[in-house]
Amino acid sequence: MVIIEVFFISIFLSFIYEGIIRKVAARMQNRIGPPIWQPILDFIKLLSKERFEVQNSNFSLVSFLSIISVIGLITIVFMFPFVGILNFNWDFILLIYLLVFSTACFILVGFSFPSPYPLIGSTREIILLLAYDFPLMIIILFFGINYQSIQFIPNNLILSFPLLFVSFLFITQAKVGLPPFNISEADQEIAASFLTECSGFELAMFNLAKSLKIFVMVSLTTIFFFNPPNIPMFFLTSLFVLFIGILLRVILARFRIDQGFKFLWIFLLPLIFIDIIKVII
Amino acid sequence: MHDLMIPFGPAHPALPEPVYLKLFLEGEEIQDVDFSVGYNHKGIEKSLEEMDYIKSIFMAGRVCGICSSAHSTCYTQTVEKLLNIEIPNRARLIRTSIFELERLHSHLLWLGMFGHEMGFDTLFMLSFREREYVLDSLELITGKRVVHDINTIGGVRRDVSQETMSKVLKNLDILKDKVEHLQNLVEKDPIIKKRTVGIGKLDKKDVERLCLVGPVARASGIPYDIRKTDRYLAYDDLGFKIVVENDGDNFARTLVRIKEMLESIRLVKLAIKSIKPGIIKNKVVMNFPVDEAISRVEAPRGELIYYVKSNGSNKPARVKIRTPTYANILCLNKILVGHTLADVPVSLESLDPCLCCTDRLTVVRNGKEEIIKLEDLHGHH
Repeated sequence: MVIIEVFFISIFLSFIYEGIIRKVAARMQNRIGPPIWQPILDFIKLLSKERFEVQNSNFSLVSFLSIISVIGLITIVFMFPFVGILNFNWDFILLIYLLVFSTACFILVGFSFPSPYPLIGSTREIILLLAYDFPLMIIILFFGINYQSIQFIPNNLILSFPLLFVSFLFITQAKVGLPPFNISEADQEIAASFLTECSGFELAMFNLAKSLKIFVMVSLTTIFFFNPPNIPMFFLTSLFVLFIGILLRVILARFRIDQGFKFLWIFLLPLIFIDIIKVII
Repeated sequence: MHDLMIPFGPAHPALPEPVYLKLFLEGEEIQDVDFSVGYNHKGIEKSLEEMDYIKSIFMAGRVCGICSSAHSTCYTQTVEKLLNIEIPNRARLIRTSIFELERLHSHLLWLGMFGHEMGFDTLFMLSFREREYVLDSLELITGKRVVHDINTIGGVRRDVSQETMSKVLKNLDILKDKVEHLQNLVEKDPIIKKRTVGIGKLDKKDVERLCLVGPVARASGIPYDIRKTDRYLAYDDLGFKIVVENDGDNFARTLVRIKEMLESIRLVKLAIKSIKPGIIKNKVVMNFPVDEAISRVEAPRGELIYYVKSNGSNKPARVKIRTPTYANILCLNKILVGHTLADVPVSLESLDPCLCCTDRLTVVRNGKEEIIKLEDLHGHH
């Protein structure tokens, strides 16, 4: 019963987070923007649309991936401290696996279609994955070695690891595909990237997976660096983190893939190492 | 041999206009570009020939939605040359201010699109917000926001009241601050610089060889501006300065357009302030000689040429339009090849292409050019 509740609550919250992003970004850009519940309406509308099976594509794989990517991301929610369905030592390893898994689903979607836009989108996502996953894994493994389980992370780690927090924010942007790292989803260059050929149910599920990714990454940032004691504080803090993400989305232009890679490795990796070495010494 | 061919258009999120670019890639690098138009041919030159001179001015204004007044001014100017008439000074100044306001709105629209192509939607929203000041001013003067229709043979159709002028001047004062803010934003943003500096480079020789016009030529260090060379309208009296940059890359083209906006604001202010009471339209005897005339203006995108041939009747016998994008599109290969796919929308947008103006149609069947008549088109339905 709890599992089903968490399932629906996390889906609902991810839609609301997506709605908040759209609304706040719109207000920052001096627009009115859609209502906060717009992603839910989009989702329901997409479900009612026709499923268009593309010729020469691996369509059953796409349908499968669309469901699996959502489930994989919700599994991460099960590990959060106050949810606590999955709590065991060294669950950081599972966390790393599930985070890569959600991205891998998107990459496979791109390779399932014969169109060049999804192909390029997937290639870019692989390069980007290489760029942001290395710093991300270092951070998660560092927490893993220090605290053994997500449940045991102490409060307000941001005070001891401010540089890790800054790098984690940028990695979050890259992971969820928001500017300046929406390189693999650059609609001006490669249309809708890996989702170009998707429609109906599959598109709805992948959109849900994208929103869930935002929800999961924002919540992870909150847990890692603030770990608030109760649920209301958790939401307040994650809204603050979300706000920083929206700010980055609004004030930055998109990197080229090589520039994004350089930024994540040459700029962020030293920052991460400074904070880690501080602890080791 | 190329790895991959990417179709860029005719319907693509980066370009609202129908153009088909074939990009041949190796990895992410562009190896070759092929370009084709012809998806949106309106046959506007032919329809200009089927209207009398007064009506065809309105048709000329509808060649392009963004540089509407450039087209109608150029056409009117050509017809006036044909008739050998002068326009009153007040009309000349009103035309100049509309012309420059239109350049302002075109450049602001371009800046927004340019930001959008880089994934910088905030710049898009900001410059479209500032563009409203220009559109409001245009509405105050002409009564319309986009297609202005203020020109007529021998002068302008609407007078400007003192009240309108002061409102427009007030709008321009606000706009100047806003444009300076945008300039500051573009010049200091590190990612915009990273995405544009050194990309799509055109040096002086390329520009001369390919006969490029407008801001593209001026960004490569060539001070070529019809406002200076032809001295049409009131530009000579207003003391117009050419904006030139030397780098020839996407960033230089951005800077040229932004600085031109500031220059345009100055020109409009000066033009409006120096408007003196008087008539706005000379009386014209529509007695067309059998002759031909050609005239140029500096449209927001560059040199715009109109050629009109008269056979003595009240309709032009032939009208030929050379739009600026038609000249500029030649450098596509030069600015795209060797850069990555991510630079394609940015470089393409840096030309400020108006691809519907560029649309030409030649039907080739069995290796022979064929002329399609109106009856043939009806026959296909």
